[in-house]
Amino acid sequence: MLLDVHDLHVTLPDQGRKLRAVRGVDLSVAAGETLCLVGESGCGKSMTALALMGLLPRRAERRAARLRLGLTDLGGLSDSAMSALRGRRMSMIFQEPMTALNPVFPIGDQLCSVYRRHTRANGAAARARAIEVLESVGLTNAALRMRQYPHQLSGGLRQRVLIAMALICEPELMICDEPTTALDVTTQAQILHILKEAQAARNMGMIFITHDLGVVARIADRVAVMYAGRVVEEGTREAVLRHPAHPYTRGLIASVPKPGGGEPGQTRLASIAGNVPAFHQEDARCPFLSRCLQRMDVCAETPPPVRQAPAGQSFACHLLPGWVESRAAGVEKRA
Amino acid sequence: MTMLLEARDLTHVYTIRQGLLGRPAPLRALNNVSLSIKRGEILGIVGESGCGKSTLARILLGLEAPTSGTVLLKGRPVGDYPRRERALAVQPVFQDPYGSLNPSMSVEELIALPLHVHGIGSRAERHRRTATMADQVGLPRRALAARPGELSGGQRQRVAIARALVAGPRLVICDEPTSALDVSVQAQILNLLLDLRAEHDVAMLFISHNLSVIEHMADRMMVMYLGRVVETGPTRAIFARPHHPYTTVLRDAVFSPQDDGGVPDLGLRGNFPNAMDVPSGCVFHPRCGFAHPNCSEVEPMLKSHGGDDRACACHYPLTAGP
Repeated sequence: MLLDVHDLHVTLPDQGRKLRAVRGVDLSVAAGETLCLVGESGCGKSMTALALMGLLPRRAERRAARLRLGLTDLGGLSDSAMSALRGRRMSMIFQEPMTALNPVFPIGDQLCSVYRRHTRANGAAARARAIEVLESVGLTNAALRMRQYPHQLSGGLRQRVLIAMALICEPELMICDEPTTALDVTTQAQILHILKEAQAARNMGMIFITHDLGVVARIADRVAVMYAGRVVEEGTREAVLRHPAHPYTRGLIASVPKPGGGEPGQTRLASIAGNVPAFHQEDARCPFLSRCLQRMDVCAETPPPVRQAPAGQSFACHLLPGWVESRAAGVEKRA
Repeated sequence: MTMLLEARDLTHVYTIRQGLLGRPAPLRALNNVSLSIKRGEILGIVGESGCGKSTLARILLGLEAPTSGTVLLKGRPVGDYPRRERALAVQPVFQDPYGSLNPSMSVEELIALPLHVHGIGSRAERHRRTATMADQVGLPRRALAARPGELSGGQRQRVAIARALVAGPRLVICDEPTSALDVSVQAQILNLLLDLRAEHDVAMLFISHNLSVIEHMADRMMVMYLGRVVETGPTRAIFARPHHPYTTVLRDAVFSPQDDGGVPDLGLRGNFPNAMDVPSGCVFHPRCGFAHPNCSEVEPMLKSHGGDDRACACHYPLTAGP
């Protein structure tokens, strides 16, 4: 396994209390594999990613039973060792490329400085490498573009520069946090293309954070659905999207407008009432309790067991997998 | 029957100075855009950034006067209406409820603001209407005393919708009202807008970059590209068979959870053009997978290619074939 995470916890200071943003997450990513982390805002997806990168806010606390990248134990690394590894073996791209790029330096300088920090390359070699990687993400006239400043580029081009910067040292793992959310739909498709190509060419592992289940359907090998700091369902793309088992996953999928799904302007969507709760204390009960339409007495009493659904994914819920499936089939027949 | 709102040949030109010492140059944000909305109808407008959809919203709201063209409200030019009367008939809901709600006012004051500003009703009457509106948009009564900062994004958008509807407008202009929200919350807001439409018979201009949201909401739709309408017609018919190549691209770029793996090649060439330097002929030709030589020479007019209330601006519309 390229990335192996077991029982990851992140707590953040919150007005004198401790906010438990990530509460016992297990994740794994193999080389060449794409894991999509999905969930609503506040479910802990970004905090999980920042915890893996060692980029949590200063007063946040991270602990994990296991946190390994290849043979390296990330949990035991010093800050300087972590910073030597970041950008070289694992790198990250963010939603808003403008905030991740320095506005006062040409993009070429920024690319070269990342490369020279991690290698012994001289200026000319770094420049050649920067041009090469910019071209690989589909930037035309890369040599000229090197002299441009971030504000001279469109959102889509800026995101390509950021991808190039993340790829320049050929990392084993790339974490993408909503990299296409701020982009137009046609630009989104182009950026996803570039990311998948870059991944295939390098057999790179990828964690892709998104709330867009349509994007998940196009790029994921496996999917982990997060809710209130926990992974509530995890399995192959096919299993999770086609045969979702957890009521939260089912609710998320049902709230997306379906192409060809009924008369325009006349059809109601399923939705999930309420918001993601925040947890300050240890709470073993099902976190989805307050919003679940299928809750039972047992849900408020005992932690949900992790079960295996017929399609193969694991999910944390008291509902019996067979029951979920048969009930869903019944609903669809009646409708 | 007179249309509720009719816009004819709207053209809007901004003058932009590029850089500190640059020479001012014209940017044609809208080019001959016409549209009409019937009472109780939802017209969807879809397009990517820079297509002119927000400029169109601002003009229809009366926040900006078009460089040329006319906007008729119930058959009368909007310019002839007193400002107050126009504001009562047309109300906005914007994308970012954080930016459009005064953080120092309570939810009740925010919702009642249009009534207050226009001096509608007694204090007791305003209070009653505000509470009824809050119920209709699904805000709990206790939220009325809260400030926007204490609410979630979805609740804030409910406040913005309640405020837009409280004075009984005939048309609500929704500019990307759910783009900043999670899908589960988006579903709640879309349901709410459809319920309110059914209840108040209010028309909506629904602007979005997300074609699947437009497909879900709009009775009729318009596709815009670089300030022009490239295709318009009943939503159902356009989705069944888009006539303009750009509409096809937009449709293929929307992914659904039911799709199968692999990112499709949209067949889109080049990059998004600079709005200051629009291509000759058909503005879409440099990116179009079906472009013929004359596409770069003659600009296609928006015209019907087979009745049924549709129109498309393309020399080679995709009316036949698979």
